[in-house]
Amino acid sequence: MIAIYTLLFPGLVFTAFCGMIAWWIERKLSALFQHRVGPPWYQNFIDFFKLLGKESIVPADSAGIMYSISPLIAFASVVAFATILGSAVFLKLEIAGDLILLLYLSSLVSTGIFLGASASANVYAAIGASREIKMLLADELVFVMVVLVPVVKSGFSFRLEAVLNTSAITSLSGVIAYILGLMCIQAKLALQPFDLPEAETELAGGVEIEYSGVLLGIWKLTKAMEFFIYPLFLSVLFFGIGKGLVGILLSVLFYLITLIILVIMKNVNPRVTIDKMLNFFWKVLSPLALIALVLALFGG
Amino acid sequence: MGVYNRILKKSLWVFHMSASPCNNCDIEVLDLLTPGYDLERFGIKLVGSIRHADVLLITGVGGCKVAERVVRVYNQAPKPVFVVAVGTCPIGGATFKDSYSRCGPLDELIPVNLYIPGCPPKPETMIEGLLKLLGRLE
Repeated sequence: MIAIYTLLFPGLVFTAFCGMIAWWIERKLSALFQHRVGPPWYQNFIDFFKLLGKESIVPADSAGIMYSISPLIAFASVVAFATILGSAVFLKLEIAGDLILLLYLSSLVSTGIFLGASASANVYAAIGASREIKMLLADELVFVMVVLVPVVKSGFSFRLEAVLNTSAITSLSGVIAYILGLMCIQAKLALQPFDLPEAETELAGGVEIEYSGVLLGIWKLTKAMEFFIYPLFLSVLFFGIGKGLVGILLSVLFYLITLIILVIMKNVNPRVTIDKMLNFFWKVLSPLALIALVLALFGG
Repeated sequence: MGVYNRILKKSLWVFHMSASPCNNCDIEVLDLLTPGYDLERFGIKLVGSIRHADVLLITGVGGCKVAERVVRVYNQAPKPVFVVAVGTCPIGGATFKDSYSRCGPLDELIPVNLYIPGCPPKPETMIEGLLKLLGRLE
């Protein structure tokens, strides 16, 4: 049963499919923002299957084993994240303290990216890796405090089921924490104001510059799955799962709104420098997150 | 190979390399990526690294210093890779035909799949050429 959960329904296949579709929504909306037509809906699937057929090159100077397994580390943690979150959301299954496990798994993805980029022996990849780890250090504190707000609202429970049954967005602290959470998700997905690790025009792909073929395909699949699960995580944390047909439709609508806000933020912002990003997260967002947490503790 | 070529046809990632050009072709290539022509609807995307690329797009004369770099970049590309030469320079050299710093036409260095002539070629010509390449993969 666990194998089916992991491979088929809330895990690999389902999340990969929904992630490709979510990524297509991002590409299509970006195209519409720029008055273009944009790719067809199956474009990401075709890109992925094309990459599976290309030659995979392991650079001669790289640390070969770490270079090859670090995409798998990131991919495995994303699949685990998707399975735990998906079985709580769709199947009402849960394990104790799963919220803490999800926080760990989300930072393990960044660690995998960092390891792979530093193993590939390329200066651009090294710059991308250092930026990736700095971004992780910057957004992790804010993200943990943002996640603590729905936990406080649901009566200090770290179980996803209790969090999913309360909607924290209805209070002031919930609204503040939701907005901060959007910024953290933007940084975790490496979208436009915070796309420092893989800056296409500046670092030529950054963390994944040396990857090709199957390993690049795994990176792209990991990124596509992140596109589905991080907005889903944020939207179910703050909105919960509605009861009945109308409630479920409202939950889906809230997820789509979260995704579209992320895409709009991506399209209207230029890339910031790393010092501005660190200052923004440490000096502006962290005190705000603390204020939201204190407000939630006093029932605001 | 039939199925894989059908997939590859719909998702070509392009790496743009300037082999000592006069910059006219590069400007026209950049035009292709602007909203007016929008090559992303065919699945064609400009990538920053040769390791990700399916198409190596080369403009320019191919000066002696850059010629060995062209060969190195071609060897670094994951196969299958297609080479598209844009402009008159890679074919005949245009004004720079008898220049002492020119190292041969491009196809003496690496195999070329498609030539798009013109000085510089119009973006419409390039789109037609790329679509011809898509038909030719069979």
